[in-house]
Amino acid sequence: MLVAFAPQIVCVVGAAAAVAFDAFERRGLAIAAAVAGLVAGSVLAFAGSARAPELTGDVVLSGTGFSAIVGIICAIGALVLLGSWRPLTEASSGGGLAALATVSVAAAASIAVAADILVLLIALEGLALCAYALVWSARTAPAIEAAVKYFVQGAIATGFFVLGLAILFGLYGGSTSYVWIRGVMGTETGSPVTTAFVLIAVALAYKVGAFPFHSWALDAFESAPSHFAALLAGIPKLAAVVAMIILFSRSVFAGLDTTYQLWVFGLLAILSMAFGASGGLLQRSYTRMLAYSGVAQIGYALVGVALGAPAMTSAALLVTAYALAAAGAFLAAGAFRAARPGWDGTIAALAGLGRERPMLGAAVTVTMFSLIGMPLTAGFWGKFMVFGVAVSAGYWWLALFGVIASVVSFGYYGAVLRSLYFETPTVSHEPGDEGTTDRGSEVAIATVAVLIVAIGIVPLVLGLQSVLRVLTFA
Amino acid sequence: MSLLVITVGLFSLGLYGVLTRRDLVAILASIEVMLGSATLLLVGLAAAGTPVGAHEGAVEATGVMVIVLAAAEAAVGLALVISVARRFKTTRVDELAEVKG
Repeated sequence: MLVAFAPQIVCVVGAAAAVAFDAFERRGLAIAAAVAGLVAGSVLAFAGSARAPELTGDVVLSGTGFSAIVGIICAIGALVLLGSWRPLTEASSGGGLAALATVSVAAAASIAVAADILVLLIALEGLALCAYALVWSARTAPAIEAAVKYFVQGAIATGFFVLGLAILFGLYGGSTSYVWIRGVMGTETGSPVTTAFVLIAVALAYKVGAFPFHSWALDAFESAPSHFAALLAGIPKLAAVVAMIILFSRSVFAGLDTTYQLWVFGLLAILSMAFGASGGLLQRSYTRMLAYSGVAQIGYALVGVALGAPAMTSAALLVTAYALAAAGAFLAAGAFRAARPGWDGTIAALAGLGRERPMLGAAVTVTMFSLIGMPLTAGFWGKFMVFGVAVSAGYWWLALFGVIASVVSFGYYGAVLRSLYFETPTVSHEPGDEGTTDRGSEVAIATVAVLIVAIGIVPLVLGLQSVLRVLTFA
Repeated sequence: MSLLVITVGLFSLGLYGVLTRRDLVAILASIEVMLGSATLLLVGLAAAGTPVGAHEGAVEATGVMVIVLAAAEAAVGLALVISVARRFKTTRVDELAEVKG
């Protein structure tokens, strides 16, 4: 049990060290300790992915894809923390914030592979409590308000989840382990089961920010410090989508009629895609546009959840690609602000920045292409696989909605690229207002871009199996 | 049966409070009522005896975990409320209108 949980424990040890270093005002050391914890956790998890899957664990699932997901989550977390080196060393108690971020990553890693509803609840809550504080840490009026909104809505979701847990516990008493509940429940489909299903589905839909439970996400990701938005936009969605498929299709609710699940999540998926894509088109602020597009992206992922077990690998690939690209895109907001200190946050005010900063511009271009789902990027394979499963399962209309939303997404992601490259700055810079280079975040964004292209190209050379082998869940 | 009625009643009352009250402290109290109702269900189950095949005390342990989570949430929530009160000089949500809905 402890072996399976080792990566998360190592991350938390790193976070504890970060808190200790922060107490002595050694911010650089504190951040380094947090990053070291995440890297060590990632390495441990990837080492564990060679093992055969252990599906009967009492706390977390491990082996093959389950360990790989933990490794991916920790690695993205480490990358984001490295990219936020400068803002964190400048912030008061930056080491403490790095520790909070590390704990939230460890909690997300536990969400993804939880094997017990109580563990899932604790991990969800651990992530959420850290996330409220991270959003709040911008300390501006909009950020404080967004954190409160996030808190209230997150707490409602927790209430739903706890009631669902208590009902399942009451019906199939004795243990909250997935395997146990599945065994006792059998193929029973009475109304208490569906009540618990709806309560838990709604709670998780809140946590991933699917329409109509999305409103906290828009404010939180717009007003949070951009390096924490980079952490919170992708990683929790990756974790929660994997947890949803395990929960709804592989274990607890696997005995329910699959059409039920198809309609609930298919409807959420279509609404999220429609709302996110149309909302994204109307935004002028870069980070708010990314927040809206995140709702559309969770719509694509929910197509995978609706299709259930056959789409598990595809959905995991899709959300992995999104988590990477979202990390890069939000970190870019920080790099933009360093390059243009007077940046007002709008897409239009980025005019010409891509030509001024070729490396940053190229990396952002790759990130946007991946979010759109252009071939040769990681985002392409995720969408290709999920929509492919939808079509082959006979639900072509889900795939059709996804493709339409992707085409629309070209409008808002493309607007960023147009502004970066094809428009000339309207405001001339005053001398002395030249801006600086945030080396850490630019390196992190470049690494994200390289990874996105690598995941995009490797399947062409070695076959898609080479990527899918990492994410097998059997 | 009456246990389930009380649980669902309390939960709905809490949810109603969260959705209609305009003061952050009242919202926080309503959230606690929601979580409390789930705890009550667990406590009621524990009083009915340990289910067949279960570990001794499993129900109670789950209940205690939920209480701990509720306490952690209240701590973070109250910290947020205090920071709102300091910044905006009010804790009423309708008076905070800086962020567009």
